[in-house]
Amino acid sequence: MKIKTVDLSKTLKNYKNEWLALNPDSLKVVATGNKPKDVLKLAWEKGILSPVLTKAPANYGAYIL
Amino acid sequence: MNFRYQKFPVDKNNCPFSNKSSSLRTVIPITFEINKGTFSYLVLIDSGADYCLFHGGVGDNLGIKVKEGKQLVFYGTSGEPQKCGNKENKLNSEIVFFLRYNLSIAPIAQRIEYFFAEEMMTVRFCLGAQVIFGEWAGRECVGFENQFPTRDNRFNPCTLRT
Repeated sequence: MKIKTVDLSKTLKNYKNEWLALNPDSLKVVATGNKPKDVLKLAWEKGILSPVLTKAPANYGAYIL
Repeated sequence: MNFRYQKFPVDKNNCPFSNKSSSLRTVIPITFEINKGTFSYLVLIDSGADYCLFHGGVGDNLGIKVKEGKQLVFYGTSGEPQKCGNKENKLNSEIVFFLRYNLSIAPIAQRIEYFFAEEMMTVRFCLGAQVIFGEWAGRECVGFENQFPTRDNRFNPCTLRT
């Protein structure tokens, strides 16, 4: 059974340890920075009304909760 | 509500499967509406978590003085203590803040408690989504496509109004 997913793996793999704002429709990165405030401001200034905020981790190693 | 799993990158140098290029995670966006504008934030659903944990940077964006929080200690699978805090007692915690918000996830609206962790990325609570969204969300209202299939698979955000 194929599971339908939202694929962020290609978008995120080139970013490490920084905050990202994504376009909510295309999920492409529209702004990056060290502080979420700055990243959101940049995204809003680019006309993205509701950017998706996330932080790329320093590495993508496996984890369990 | 039903959501799609989200694919995140994996570190191939720290993965036992040579052909594995991504991991599926139970991540959903929630939406904050603040004076400056609207933004979504990716949160990881963990139905076994005791609390909801947000990155401190999000608290800052919401106008919350995260560094005034009371320090608490959380434990993960490593068994090592990881510090967190809440606002009820002011200490020189540099890590976490605790507050109650009204969270509206249609059709359910509940009061829910959040912790904000400034060092979440350091302690690696979660990768890709800097949030553990706790037991309430996992138990009550969030399903994932193919896990709890429904006809409506739209990617609807939840909304948190401050």
